[in-house]
Amino acid sequence: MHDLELYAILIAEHEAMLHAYVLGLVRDANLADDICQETFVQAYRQLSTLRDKAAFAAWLRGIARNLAYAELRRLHREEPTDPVVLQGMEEVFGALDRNPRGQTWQERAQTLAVCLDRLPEVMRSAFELHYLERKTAAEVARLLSVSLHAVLKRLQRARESLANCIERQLGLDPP
Amino acid sequence: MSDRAAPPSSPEPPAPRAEGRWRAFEGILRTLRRTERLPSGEKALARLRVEAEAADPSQGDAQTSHPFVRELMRRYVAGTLDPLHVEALWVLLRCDPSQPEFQRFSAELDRTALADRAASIEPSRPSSGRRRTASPERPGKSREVPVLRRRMWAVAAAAALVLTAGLIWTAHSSRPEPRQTRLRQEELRRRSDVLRRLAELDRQARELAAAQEMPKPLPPQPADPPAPSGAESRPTPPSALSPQQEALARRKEEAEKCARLLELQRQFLQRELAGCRTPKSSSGSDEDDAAASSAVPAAALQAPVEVGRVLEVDGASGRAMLVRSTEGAAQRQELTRGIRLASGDRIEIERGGRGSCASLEFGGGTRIDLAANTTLQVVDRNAVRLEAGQLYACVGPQVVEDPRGEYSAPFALQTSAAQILVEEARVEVVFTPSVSLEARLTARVDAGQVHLLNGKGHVLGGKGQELTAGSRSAPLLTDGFQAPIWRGANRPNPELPYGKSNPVLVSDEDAQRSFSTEYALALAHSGELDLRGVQISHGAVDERGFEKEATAALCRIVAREIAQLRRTGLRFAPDPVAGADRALQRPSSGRCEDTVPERSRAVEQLLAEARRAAPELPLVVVASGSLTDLASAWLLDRGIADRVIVATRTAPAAWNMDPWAATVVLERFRCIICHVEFPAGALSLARLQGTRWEFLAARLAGGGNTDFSQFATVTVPGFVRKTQRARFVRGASGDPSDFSFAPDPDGRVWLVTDADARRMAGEFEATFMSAEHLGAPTGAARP
Repeated sequence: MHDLELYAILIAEHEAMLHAYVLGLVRDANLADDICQETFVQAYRQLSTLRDKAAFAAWLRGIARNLAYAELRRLHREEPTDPVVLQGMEEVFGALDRNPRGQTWQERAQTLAVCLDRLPEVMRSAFELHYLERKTAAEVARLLSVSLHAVLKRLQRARESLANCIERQLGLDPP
Repeated sequence: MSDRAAPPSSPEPPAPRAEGRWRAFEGILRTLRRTERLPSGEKALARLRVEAEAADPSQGDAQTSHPFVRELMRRYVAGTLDPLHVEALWVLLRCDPSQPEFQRFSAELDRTALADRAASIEPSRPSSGRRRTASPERPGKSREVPVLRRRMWAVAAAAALVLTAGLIWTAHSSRPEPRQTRLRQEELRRRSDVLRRLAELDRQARELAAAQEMPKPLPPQPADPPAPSGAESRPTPPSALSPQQEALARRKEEAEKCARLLELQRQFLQRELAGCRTPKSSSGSDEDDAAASSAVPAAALQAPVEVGRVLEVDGASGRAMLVRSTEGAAQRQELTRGIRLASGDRIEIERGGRGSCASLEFGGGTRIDLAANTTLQVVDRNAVRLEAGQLYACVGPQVVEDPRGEYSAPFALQTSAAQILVEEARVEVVFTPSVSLEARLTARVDAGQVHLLNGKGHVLGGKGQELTAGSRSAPLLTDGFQAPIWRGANRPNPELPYGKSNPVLVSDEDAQRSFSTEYALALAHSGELDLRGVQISHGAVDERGFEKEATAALCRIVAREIAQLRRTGLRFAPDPVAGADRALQRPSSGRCEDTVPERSRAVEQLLAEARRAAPELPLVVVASGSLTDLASAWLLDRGIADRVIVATRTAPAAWNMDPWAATVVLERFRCIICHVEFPAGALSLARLQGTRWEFLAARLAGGGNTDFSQFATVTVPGFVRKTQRARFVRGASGDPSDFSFAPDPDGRVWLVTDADARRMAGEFEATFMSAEHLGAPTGAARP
């Protein structure tokens, strides 16, 4: 098999993970797509420098992080440079890297979506509008016909509840 | 709590570590919620391929060896290609360069590219390559005529390329996806957007042409010849025309070029969309053209398109029929040699032996042989040009992999469908028989380039790969289809519509005496079962009402047991969830829909898991107690009926706990009913001593347990010997306990009428007494 075909397998396995990671860093879906694309290209060129094959996912995230920093600097945007923030991100993705059941990354990550389904409807609708559809809190308040105050409260509770649930699912210690 | 209490100023948490985790969660959730496909990997691969081909041209094919495409690729690698042209490059890479339209199209664009290059290297002009002439409107200012023309030219070319990419993309983006409806809507939206842009472009061209109406006859203007490569553009010689006439003449000339390009584009698109057979005449008016341009994609997508032909039909080997829809009516005719196949055709091999009954040829020489009991459906034409066809999904809409990945003979594989992307069409092949693997086989793929992809997009094999049946990624040669089929779903009992690959939810009522829950936990521990949860339903009969809090109390006991098992190292052991405390009441109308559901945590979990399950791979609820929670879940969301299969037993006592719920479930869900007593005497329970499962020996010593049998239908190969399809029939008395089953080949109930109890015992030994469990610490595991 051609080495690019082999690399295609690696890409298929890690694409969603990398996209999620970069999206967490830059919070812009289009920018994340570009950075992911560049990351895969850079990783392929530097594949021979990877010593621990098992750490491919973490290595990929490292490349993506550097590219994201460079891009954010170029765009004069906020940078998540705090190492503790990055450590928090790596804890989550590291937990998902552990794969004793031979599942794909998406399947493992789907367990996190369970937590979203468990949220009460009022919280979930506010959460989805704000965090997944990128509506502002004021827009969410208008769409749901509730006060801004209520939306902020719902978002806070949804976020706390979701974070606790996901941390339980992944077996993470409380931060 | 009220929303008005303690208003937060911001939903952001303060701790940086929590913030990092939150960023990760947010990224994951947004990625999982993303409806469209992630493009980054595909684009990165395309870039790498282009780079590889640019470095080694011998690796290129007919497309990439074309000078125009090579020039675009060179610019792409150099990073100087406009993003709009990047899309055009992907389109061109899929086109056949031998087509005259491709040559004309590339020649037109090549001329632009060469003119651009010539302008950029001209030494005698200003660095920007601008030629300044007096502006007729503002004499003091200058005007950039060539730049303007080039810009218009480039804009028209770019717009046309984008339209090409958009229309071709919409023409072949109808692969079946789990989110098919959403993607279809997206496709329609994009298509309308493209058509709107095309109409807009047309309108602009017409306005431009109208604005260029000459007030008086102009002297003849020589056409602007294409600039040769490397040639320098010379300043325009002085003209006898007034500046206004000169400007108008140029604008008219540019409008004509735009119109020519548009016409060229229309022809190009028509050929792409209509299979390169029905080029449209360009003699119509602008209005006609606009209407035609709007009509072309829809017509081209809906009209049958020829995709292949019948090479050979062997009447001695079987009877092959062609079903073709003509003016809305399906017509059947016998398949004969030479028939041209079109999209929408269906071929059914009604009877025959093991050999090939019909041989079909699709574009590019892809050949498919069909044997008996096979149906082939030509779904649509696909504009993507491939080398020899790709098998991109097989064995059901969703290919499922058994986590253990070991298939040994004898093994029965129930193939349901294969979807094959050949050069010009996507076809679906449906098999009715199951494929039995009776011995280890070795086969080799020799026909065409075949990529075996599972539902997750992983490449499992390729051309020339040696295929070994029983290995982890073993494609098999089947009777029905002379091409490799991946092993697919593991259905131990092919008569039943489920198997170990389905997600499973256990609903146990008698956890203190049965071992269904422990069996599920053991399988999940070894990765053989996708266990989604354990539910506790009440099993005690109490005047058709359950004891208050009894279910919760039983749930707490089971939770303690599971916690102890978890301490012994058992993985994937979920906490149990309590079901309803009360039975459902039969409504006075006698209609299932009028029943008031009983809400519980188990119902919530059922709803969530059922909604997550795909209809092709439904959730299996192995229920041994009351069916109250299942019925309540259906009452709350009737859409889950096709996503859930219930495996239960025929214990009247169990159904009498809640007969109305049993009525609802048996009428609305697909149910497999099995009732076989477990042969505890056949086991040597002493082997369980010292393992985490030693407490099961005491449970089995009592004997008479039947809970395990419905689980065995899901997991134990060869357990089910005979089944009968039936439908649920209510009794005339109206009493929910009065019912029967009537034989019905299309019924929603599978009655297991004969089963091999000894295989259950074998499964028990294989699971609980395996080396994986025997060596486990047991100190705390004495529930």
